[in-house]
Amino acid sequence: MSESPTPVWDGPTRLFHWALAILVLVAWLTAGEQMTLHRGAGYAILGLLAFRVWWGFAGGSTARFSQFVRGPSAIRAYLSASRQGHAPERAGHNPLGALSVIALLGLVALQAGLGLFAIDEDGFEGGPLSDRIDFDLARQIAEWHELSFRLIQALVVLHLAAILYYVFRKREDLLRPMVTGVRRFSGPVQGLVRAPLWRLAVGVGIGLAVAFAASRGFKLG
Amino acid sequence: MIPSRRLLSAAVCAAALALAGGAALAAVNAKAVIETREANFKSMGKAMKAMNDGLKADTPDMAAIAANAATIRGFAPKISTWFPKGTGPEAGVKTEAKAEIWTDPAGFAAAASRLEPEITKLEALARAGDVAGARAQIRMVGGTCKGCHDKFKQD
Repeated sequence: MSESPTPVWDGPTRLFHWALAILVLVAWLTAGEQMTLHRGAGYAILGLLAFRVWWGFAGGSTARFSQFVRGPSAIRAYLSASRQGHAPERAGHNPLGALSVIALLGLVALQAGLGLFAIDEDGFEGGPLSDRIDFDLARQIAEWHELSFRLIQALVVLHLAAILYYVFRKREDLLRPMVTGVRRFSGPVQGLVRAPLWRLAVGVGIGLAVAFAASRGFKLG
Repeated sequence: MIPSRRLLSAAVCAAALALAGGAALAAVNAKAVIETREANFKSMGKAMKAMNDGLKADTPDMAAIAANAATIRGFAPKISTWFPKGTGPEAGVKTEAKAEIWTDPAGFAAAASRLEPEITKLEALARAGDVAGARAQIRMVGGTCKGCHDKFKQD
């Protein structure tokens, strides 16, 4: 641990991460009870996801999909190198962890998308697009909405277990860099290449627009 | 006394059959009762959704909303009669009715009876063409659904 701290996650990526964690928690705790808040959390999550997709193409280097989404052979190579204890140090997601990122983003998107159409058993509290479909379909979607949340819970447990595994078995603290943005490596590692500020501004604009449009049921005017 | 022993065993068999038959019949009845009440609740849910969707419009079709309110009002006073003994979780048929309906019958009857006055008010507002009033009142109606379901229905 001789090298000086290397930047690994840019501010927007970290902010996205923690905002998503908090909003998923809020959505969970308000489900079926405080539905105005629950819907609000859903719109904010949709906005965050839209931002993250933009950031995945235009953001800092470690946030880019092109940098961390890898094929099965790269994952196998990483796993065997890791087992032999010489997986290369790198700033950003490893090829296996990338799967978790993609799965979580995809499931949360599915979850929020289903929520737009879901309605409660009373036909009373529903997503902003539940008026486009009939009661039976909206109820079916509400059941899928509950089911996909179970999958999210399972992935979050796996996510937390992986962090503990890295702390206790591999002596790597993944939590601190997600807070501070920097990490110490034992050798020289190509650190984060930041994106220019205007791209952040565009991403925030996209996120706000999507969240606002969702809250209006994507109706214009 | 062989004949009378035979008679006795026949009687025992008959009694057993009657019991089994009675239990089977009760199960069939419980299933029918549960299916009917679930269909009724679903009709109310549909009517509720139709009103909610309708009230989102800039100029809601208040006659349609009044008609849906009338559907719910027709069901409302009967709700507490849809839960005869033996149609709870012990019925062996899938139901989301909680045992509390039968352990706290007074509480259940009170919660179930809150719908009728609220839906009657909503229907009157819809007939009077009071859009703002109906939008506020439907929240009261929804509250009575949830109020009863929170206590007496499984998620």
